[in-house]
Amino acid sequence: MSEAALSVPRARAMGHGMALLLLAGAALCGLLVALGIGAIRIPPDGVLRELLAPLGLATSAPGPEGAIIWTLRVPRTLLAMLAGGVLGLAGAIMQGLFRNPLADPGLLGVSAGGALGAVFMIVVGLTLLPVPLRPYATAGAAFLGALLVTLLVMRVAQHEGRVMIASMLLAGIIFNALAGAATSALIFAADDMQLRDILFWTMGSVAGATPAVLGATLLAALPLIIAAPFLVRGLNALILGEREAQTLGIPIERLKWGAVLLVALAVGAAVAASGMIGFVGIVAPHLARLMRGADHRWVLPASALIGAALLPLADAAARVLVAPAELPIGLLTALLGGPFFLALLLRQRFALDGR
Amino acid sequence: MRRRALFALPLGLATPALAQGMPRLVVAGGGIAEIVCALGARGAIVGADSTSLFPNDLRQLPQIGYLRALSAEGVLSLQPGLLLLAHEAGPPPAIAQLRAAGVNIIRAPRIESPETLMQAVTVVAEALGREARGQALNAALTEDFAALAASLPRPATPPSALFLLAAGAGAPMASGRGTSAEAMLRLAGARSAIQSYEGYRAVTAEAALAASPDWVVAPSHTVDGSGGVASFLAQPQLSLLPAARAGRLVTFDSLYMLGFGPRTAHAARDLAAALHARPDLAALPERPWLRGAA
Repeated sequence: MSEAALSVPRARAMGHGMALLLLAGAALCGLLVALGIGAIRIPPDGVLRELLAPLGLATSAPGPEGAIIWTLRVPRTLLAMLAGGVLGLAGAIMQGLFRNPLADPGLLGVSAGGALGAVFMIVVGLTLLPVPLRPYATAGAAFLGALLVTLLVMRVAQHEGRVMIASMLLAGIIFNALAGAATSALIFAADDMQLRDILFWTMGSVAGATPAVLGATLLAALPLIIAAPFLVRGLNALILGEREAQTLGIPIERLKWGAVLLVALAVGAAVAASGMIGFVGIVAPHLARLMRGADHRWVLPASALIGAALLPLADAAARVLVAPAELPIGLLTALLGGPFFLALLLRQRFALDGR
Repeated sequence: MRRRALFALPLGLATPALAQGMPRLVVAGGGIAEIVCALGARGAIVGADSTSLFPNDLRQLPQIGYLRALSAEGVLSLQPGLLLLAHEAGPPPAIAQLRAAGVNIIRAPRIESPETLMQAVTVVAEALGREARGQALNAALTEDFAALAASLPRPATPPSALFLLAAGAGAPMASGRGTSAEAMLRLAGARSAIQSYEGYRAVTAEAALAASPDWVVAPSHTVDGSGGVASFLAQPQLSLLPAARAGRLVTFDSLYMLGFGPRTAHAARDLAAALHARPDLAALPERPWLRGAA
C-alpha cells in the first residue's frame, strides 16, 4: 500500500461528509433501481405509486403490483442493502483491526462456521425438528455456527488476557479448515436432494427475505452499526501499530474483543439470512480507500454505504438476467466484482509505476 | 406422410383452443410435466422448470429454474392461473411467497411407485378439471403395469445391477436403497447390487467388486461423458468387475428411466429386456405420451 494511502489525510476531513452524502445517494439509487426491476415489469411511476400508497399519498393500482413490490421486492432489497452494508462495514473493521488489506470476516471463521451450521441443519437436523420450526432452522443454525466458530478462534488466540493478532490469524485458518472438513463430511453423507439445497445455500440468495428475517438480521447488526463510530479512533490509532496505539490511550484488548464479537454477531446474521455472499467484505473497503484514503472516519461509513449500494444492484441483476429463473447472488458479486476490482488494482499499480 | 400432415393441421390449430378453457399453467417437476402433457393440457403450459425436459418442446418455454430453487417473482411474471408442483419443489419461502401472492398452487404427492404415480395423475387431472382423461390415463397405466408384470421373466435369482449415477472423477456414485433407480430396478424384476446404504453414495472399487453385480447400469449422458462404453468400463474403479469385463453395461436416457411419469412402465419393460437378456420380451402397448403427444 502506498504511503499516501496509509497516512490519515486530515486536510480532506472536511470533504468526507459531502462524499458520504454522495455515497448515500448512490445507495438510495441502488435501492430504487432494485425496487424497480424484476421479472415483472413495473414502470417507475408504478413503483413510486405503490411505495407511496401505504402512506396515503397515492392510490394503489388494482393489479398485483402492490403485493409484488411490498411482499417480494421490498423485503429482499432491504435485506440485500442491510447485508451489503454489514459485510462492507465488517470488512473495513477487520482490515483495520488486522492491519491487513486481505482480512475479512471470513478469516474469523464466520462464513465457514455459518456454512457448517446450515449444512448440519440441512443434512441432519431438519427431520429432528418440529415442522413449525423448520423454516427458521437453517438460518438459525448458520447463525449459531458462525458465532461458535468465531468464539473458538478468539478463545484460542487469547493468551494471558491478550488477543494476539497473529494467533488469531492462525486460529482462523485452523478453524476454517476444521469447519470446512466437517462441512465436507456432512456433504459426503448428504443425499442428492440435500446436496442441491446445500449448493444453492452456499451460493447465496436474499430471496427468502421476510419482515421477520429482516427484523432479526437488523437486530443482530444494530450493535455493530451503533458501535462503529466508537471504533474509528481506535482503528485509526492502530494504523501506527499496536504499541503506539496503546500509548495513545486506546484500550486495545477491549477494542479487539468488542469489534470481533460485534462483527461475528452482525455477519453471522447476514450469512444466516442470505447464505454466502463473497467479495463485498473485501471490495467495499478497498473501493473506499481508493476513493479517499484510509481514515476510518471515512472508510467505515463509506464501506457500509458501498456495500449497501452494490448488493441491491447485484440482487436486481440476479432477478432479471435469466428471468423467470433467478441466479444466486453470491455468484454475481464475485463474477461482477472480481474483474472490476482487478481493473482498479491494475490501474492503481500502473499509476504507482508511472511515478 | 401426407395423411399425417393433414392430421397435424387441425391438431395444431386445436392446441391453442384447448388451452383457452384452461388456466395458464406453470409446472415444476419433469414427471408432473409429462402427466400434464399426457392429459392433453400441454397447450396451457406457459412455463416449466429445468427438469421438465420431455416432451422436447417444453424446453422452449420460459424456464423458471431448477425445481428446488424457484423464484417467486419469476413464477409470478408468467401470471400463472395454476402452479403445479412436484412433491420436492421449493424452496419453502418461495412457495410461501407465491401462496401469499394469491397463486393457485397444487402439489402432487411424491412419486416412487406405480401407485403413487397414479395418485399424482389423479391430483393433476383434478387440478386441471380433466378427471375423465385422468381416469383414462390411469386405466392405461394400470394396463401397462399389469402387462409388464405378466411379461417379466421370473428367474430363481433375479439379476443384480450396480446402478451408477455418475462415474469418472473420483469414486463412482452408486445407488443404494430408497432411490428411484432402485425402484426402477425392482419394477424391472431385478435388484440393486448394493443394499447396505440409502441414497446415492460414492463407493470404492472394492465395495463394487464385493457387490459382484451381474450388470452395470448407467445413464447415457454419464457414459457419453466419460468417452463412450469402452472407456467408461475401463475406468479403474470398474475395470475389475466381471460385469464390466464382459461388457455387461446397460445405458439409457436418464429422464426416461428415472423420471417416474407416464412412461415408467415402458421404461421398466426396456430395462427388464436388457437385464434379463430377453430382447424378445413382449412390448407394451404403444401410447401417445411415449412420443410426447397426447
